[in-house]
Amino acid sequence: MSWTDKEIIEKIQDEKTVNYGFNLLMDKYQEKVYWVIRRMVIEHDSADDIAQETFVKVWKNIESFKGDSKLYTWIYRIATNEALNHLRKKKRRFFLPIGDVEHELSSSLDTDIYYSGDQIQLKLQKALLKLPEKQRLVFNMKYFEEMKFKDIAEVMDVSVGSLKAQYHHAVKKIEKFIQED
Amino acid sequence: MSDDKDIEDGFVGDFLKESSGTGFKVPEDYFEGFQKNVHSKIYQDYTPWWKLPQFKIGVSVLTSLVLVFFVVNEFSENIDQVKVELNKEELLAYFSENIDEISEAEILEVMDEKDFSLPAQQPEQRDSINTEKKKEENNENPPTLDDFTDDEIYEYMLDEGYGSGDWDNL
Repeated sequence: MSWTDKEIIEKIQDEKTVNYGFNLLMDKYQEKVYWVIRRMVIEHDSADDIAQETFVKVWKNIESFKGDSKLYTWIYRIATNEALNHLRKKKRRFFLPIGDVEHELSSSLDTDIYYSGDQIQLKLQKALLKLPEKQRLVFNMKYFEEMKFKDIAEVMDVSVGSLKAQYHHAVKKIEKFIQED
Repeated sequence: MSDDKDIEDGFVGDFLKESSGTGFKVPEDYFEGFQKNVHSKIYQDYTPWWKLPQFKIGVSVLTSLVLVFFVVNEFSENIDQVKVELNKEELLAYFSENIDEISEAEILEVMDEKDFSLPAQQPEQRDSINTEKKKEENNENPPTLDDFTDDEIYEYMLDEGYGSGDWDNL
């Protein structure tokens, strides 16, 4: 049985069923949240930590969810912010420019036991890692998650127009990287 | 540019058509255990630190170590106390009486070798010791008749009841 977001929120808001409601929420979104994060941070262990932290924050703040956005865009916003914070912390911890962090992640794909992409997939991931992180996020949500620009705009709190521009630039850059490689 | 413009219409789309997915994998049964991990994390975050199992275990271990320390300390103090209470004379007297049953090593455990050395001697003590030594030497080599004068021999014989003393006319 597939629960709607409205039903899940009602379960969570009822004291007697709050835990049940939260488990339903995790059932519905845990994989999607994990993959959104994983495509950004690349490494499974990092994605695991961030995904768990995301749901802990969802639990802590669910009462403040007003319903003025969709539940899943609200959850995705928490997840993507956590992922971007992780990448920034990594840069600060190692005193690296953000480009070097992406280069390090790109290199790690070659030896990562939790990556088994073929040549084409590997090439695409390495091309994506050359994009600015927000552009990469837009591309991932549009292409892999198949989200509408309107929903991506809710997640990233930017206008639809700027997102379309970001996506267009991302595709062009990937094209260029793949052709050069 | 419409919302529905498909990436598959361009070069990248053709490129990606040759493959599907991203190549990322997860450990086996990862998602089955995910919710449990999240609940554990929430429990840790919401439980006061003094109620966490890790804190309780830490306190138990620390308390045990402190108790062991005090017991060992107390035990070693008792042994030192026993050593102090018995004075040297009493110990020496005990050892003399039971010398056959006690080994040298056991004696040295409770007394130092210097406890067995003789104290510094006074002149009177030294003379009396020398006299004692002479007596011991004499006992080892008993005197002969040549060591006594005739008068001493006669006196001895009278004392012992050997005759009237008129031995010149025997």
